[in-house]
Amino acid sequence: MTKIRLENISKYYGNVVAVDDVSFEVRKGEFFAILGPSGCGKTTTLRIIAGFEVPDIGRVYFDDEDVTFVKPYKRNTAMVFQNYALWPHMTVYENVAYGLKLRKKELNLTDADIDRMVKEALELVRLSGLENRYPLQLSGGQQQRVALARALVVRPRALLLDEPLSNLDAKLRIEMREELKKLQRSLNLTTIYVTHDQLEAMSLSDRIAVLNKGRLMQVGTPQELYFRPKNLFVADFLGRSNIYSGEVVAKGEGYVEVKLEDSDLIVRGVTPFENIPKKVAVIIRPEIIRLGEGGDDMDVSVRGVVDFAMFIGDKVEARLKIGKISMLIYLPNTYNIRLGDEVKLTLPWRNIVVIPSD
Amino acid sequence: MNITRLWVGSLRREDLTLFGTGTALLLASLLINALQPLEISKVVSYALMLLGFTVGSVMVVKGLYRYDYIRYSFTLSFLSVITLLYLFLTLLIEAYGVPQAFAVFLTPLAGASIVGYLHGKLREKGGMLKVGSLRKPDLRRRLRATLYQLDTTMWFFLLFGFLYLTVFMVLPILLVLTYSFTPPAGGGWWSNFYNVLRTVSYVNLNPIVKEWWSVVNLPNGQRLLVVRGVDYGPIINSLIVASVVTVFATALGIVVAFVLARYKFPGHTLLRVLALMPLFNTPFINSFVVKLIWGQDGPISSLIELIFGYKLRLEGYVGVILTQIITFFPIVYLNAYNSFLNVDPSTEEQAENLGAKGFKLFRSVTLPLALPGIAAGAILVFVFSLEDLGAPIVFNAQNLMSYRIFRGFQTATGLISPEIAALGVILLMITLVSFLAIRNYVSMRSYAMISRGGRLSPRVRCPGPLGLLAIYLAVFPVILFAILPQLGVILISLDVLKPYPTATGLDIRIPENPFMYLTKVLSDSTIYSYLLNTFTYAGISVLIAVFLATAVGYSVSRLKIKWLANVLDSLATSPLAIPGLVIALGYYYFFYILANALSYVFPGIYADLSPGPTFKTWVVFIIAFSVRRLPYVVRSVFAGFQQVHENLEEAAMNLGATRIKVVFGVIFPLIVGYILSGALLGFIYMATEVTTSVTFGGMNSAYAPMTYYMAQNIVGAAGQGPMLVAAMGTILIMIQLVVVIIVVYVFKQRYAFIGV
Ligand SMILES: Nc1ncnc2c1ncn2[C@@H]1O[C@H](COP(=O)(O)OP(=O)(O)O)[C@@H](O)[C@H]1O
Ligand SMILES: [Mg+2]
Repeated sequence: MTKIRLENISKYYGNVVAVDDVSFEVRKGEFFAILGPSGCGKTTTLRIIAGFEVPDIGRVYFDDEDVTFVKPYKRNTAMVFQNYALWPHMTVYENVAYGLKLRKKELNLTDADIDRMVKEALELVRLSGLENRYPLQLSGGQQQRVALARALVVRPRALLLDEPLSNLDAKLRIEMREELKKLQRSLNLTTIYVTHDQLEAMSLSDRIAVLNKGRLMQVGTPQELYFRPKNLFVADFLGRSNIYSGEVVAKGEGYVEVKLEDSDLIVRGVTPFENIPKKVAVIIRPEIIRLGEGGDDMDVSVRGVVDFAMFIGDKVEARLKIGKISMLIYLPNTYNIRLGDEVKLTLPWRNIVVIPSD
Repeated sequence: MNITRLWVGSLRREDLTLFGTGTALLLASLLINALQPLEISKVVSYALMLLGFTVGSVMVVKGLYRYDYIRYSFTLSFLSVITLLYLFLTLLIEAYGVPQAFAVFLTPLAGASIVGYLHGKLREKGGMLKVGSLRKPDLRRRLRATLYQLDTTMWFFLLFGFLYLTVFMVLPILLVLTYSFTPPAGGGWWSNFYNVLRTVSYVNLNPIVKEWWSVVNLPNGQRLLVVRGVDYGPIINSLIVASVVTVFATALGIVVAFVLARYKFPGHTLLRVLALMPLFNTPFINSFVVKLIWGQDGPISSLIELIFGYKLRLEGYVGVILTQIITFFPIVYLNAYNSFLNVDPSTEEQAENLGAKGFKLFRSVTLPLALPGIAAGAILVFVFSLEDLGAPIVFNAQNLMSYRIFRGFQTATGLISPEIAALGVILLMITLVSFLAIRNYVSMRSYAMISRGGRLSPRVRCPGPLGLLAIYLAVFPVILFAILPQLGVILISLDVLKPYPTATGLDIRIPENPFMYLTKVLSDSTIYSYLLNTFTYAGISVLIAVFLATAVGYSVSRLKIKWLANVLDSLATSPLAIPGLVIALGYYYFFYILANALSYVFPGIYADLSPGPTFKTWVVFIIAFSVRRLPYVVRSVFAGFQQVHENLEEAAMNLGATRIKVVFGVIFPLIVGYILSGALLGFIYMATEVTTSVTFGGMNSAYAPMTYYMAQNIVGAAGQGPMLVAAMGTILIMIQLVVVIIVVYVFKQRYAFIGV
């Protein structure tokens, strides 16, 4: 178990800024995700941690030891590549045993030890019996597990996963998600998980770092990011949000009052910022909006007209017109709704976030 | 006229202005030539060239002509590459008259392309500076980041690659350069070059015999047409020979490749196999057979006599040209064939959809996409033709640059004369400049390769009746002609065909003992020792070359320090562009000096041959083979490394494998096919190496390789010489056949020369 710390990391490829001044710390045994859209620098960050790239600026620490210029083969991290990178000319067994054979002397292993450990690793990923297959004879999911076994078997200081599930089909992806989480819990291994899928990141991780265009947008637990986003990008990227711009009209004890642009509506919300400027954005997630009136005194009630509705199984998604603005809300799937209906809503102030507009 | 409309129709108004200017200047130059004495017209024409260049560059700078026209048109960009080469050469030899007038015609295009290119580069630079507002790391950090990539293995690979190539390639060539500037007594530093470029014995723009053929009345009343070409001195002769060979070999190669790549017809496979045969290298003896077939008593001569009443004999430069076309066209054919296969069929279908058909389709879509591969093959032919010694020696065409340098070795009483070194430098300049120009051109248009990912089932059609007729009546006979030399070699070695014709024609009979000469070559200990030498040297050299290729190929494909990778890549490819004779000259000086220096330490050890102490020649052969044939091995090994996704390596490194374990433990087994292919191809090219073999072979024939023996025994051409040489040729053909079969069918590699 290792603590990993990135300090002001930047990486340039010619004129492309792949990673731009990123700092975060991954705690011991933590499941940490790096989340962001494609091309935002996730893989580059992971490769810097593994030692395949050196950052142009900044430092990388493993347990307070500066490893910025330590070669990849001395870092003892284990990476699972997006394309799995299994050696096609070696069997499953040989692929998994490779790392152990390299460490035979160092760890004082006998051949029997290696054999046992490889078998255990394959059992862990539920691949026993396929030892003598070649990678090309396996399905995508199986290849993915071989790559995982190959990484786990060497008991690395940290496990690095680069979009490991992105090449699997949707159903398998969800199965593997659960398995990964259990595996990581039982091994208690510091894990960095790169993904562009916010659901994957939120369901798996203890904490998440959100990247955009090489910049770190926010680090925090899934809940923090979801309920207290610090910027529009995070609010927009995780889950779905109604985002309105507005102006602060009053500040109170732990809350702010904002008048929405193009509307007479005044809403109250909380803000993670001490000094909130006048120009702000208000983030209202559809699932926090309550139907009907009542609740806390500070909550704001509004009325809207149904403009658009869509039955999607577990709920009904509807868009309301409230004056000039439009708001996405969720309704129970039993709700019988017609266009033009008037709906009363309550906007609970504790779950509404106000942040400076960019 | 349909075709002319197409060509002219694709010209813009701006193009017409540019070439109109050229034409006007051309006419002016011709007029001056007609009215004024040489001295004046020459100077005026230079002024016209300057004017044309200025007009071209001003047009580009002022925006009247866009450089993009040249850049994006395959015809114009190719034309401008050729233009630059032509101008370079005419200026070098101070051509006058019509060749100079033609140079005048080309100057506006030259101005437009050179200035346009530089203009574009400058703007790119300017644009880059504006973006560069990044927080850049300081120098120390950058240095450390660079060093980070260089672990022990990388260091070793880089050092080994650079050292080997610097010591055994760059240094010898620098020595040639140094010697070329050593003036004869009383001369200035330039005098060697002055002599080579200005004296009639090297450049003769006004030869006494201007006819390239003559009619001789034979004693028996028959008339003989002798075709030999005009002698303009070695530099121009070489350029003419190489250009003609390149043009014809390229055209032939394209036609054969296109027919094979796009048409299905009975005999397709046969033609494909036959078209490869001329590639089997049988030094000297193939030229000998061409000479025999096209000689006075050969079958062609008899045929011509039957029809026209003249006997025919090809000699000298014309013989060299014919031999080289036959020998070298498969290089273009292979490259063109692979390029045609790589052209994504959907691009052609798209064009057809839009109404392009037949020749227009070929010219506007297929050819441009395949052109980089073809150009790469063509430039190899150009260089190979310039450095070839086999055909010139057999046809006794002494006034070629290669032959002149070769004779410099033979006639040297002391050190080889600096004038020969100067000739070598000029030869090197010509090949290097052409090579670099084409390389730049090819890399600028490597989009042909983009189609790789596309659907790769090539479009194959059945030709119409006229097409079939053309294939059977033109393509097949040409290919058959081209394989006659190989056939002849085998027949002579089996004693079926006598190398000496009788007055009534070729002497063909059933042999009593067909394997006599093959047996003799393999059992006579003196002759066999030459074979043994060749295979020993080639074997050792191939090991060195494979290791070198691994070092270079790996560094180039993995190093993220791009400029360093590029330098190493260029160094390793450059033997393609360095004529063998220049390497031989360089080694001559290099080992002479080295031996001299070492003889103080180990007196007498190196005293092998005159003049003075020098190295045992086997050292020279092994090193020469490994350097000269390195590009072929590198090409193959490099392709292997490129096949392997970098992640496969990183996965191993990640698990604790150092780079050396990664390269030799994980990657090597994956690309073993590529490595063995490279080694096998390298081996056959080494075994058939001519230049260093014949130049150094004479210094101590006990160490000489078989090609030296072949050269010695073909020239006199008496007694059993040619039969034994043919037997060696047959053995070489067998080896090459086996290698090609292994490479293509066992290792599944494409057999091609895409070299640049
Ligand atoms: N080796 C490289 N050379 C040049 N640009 C690169 C290289 N690797 C990544 N980039 C660029 O850096 C940016 C970040 O890439 P990457 O880290 O792969 O993104 P992600 O994994 O988040 O999709 C992209 O714009 C990409 O084009
Ligand atoms: Mg990525």
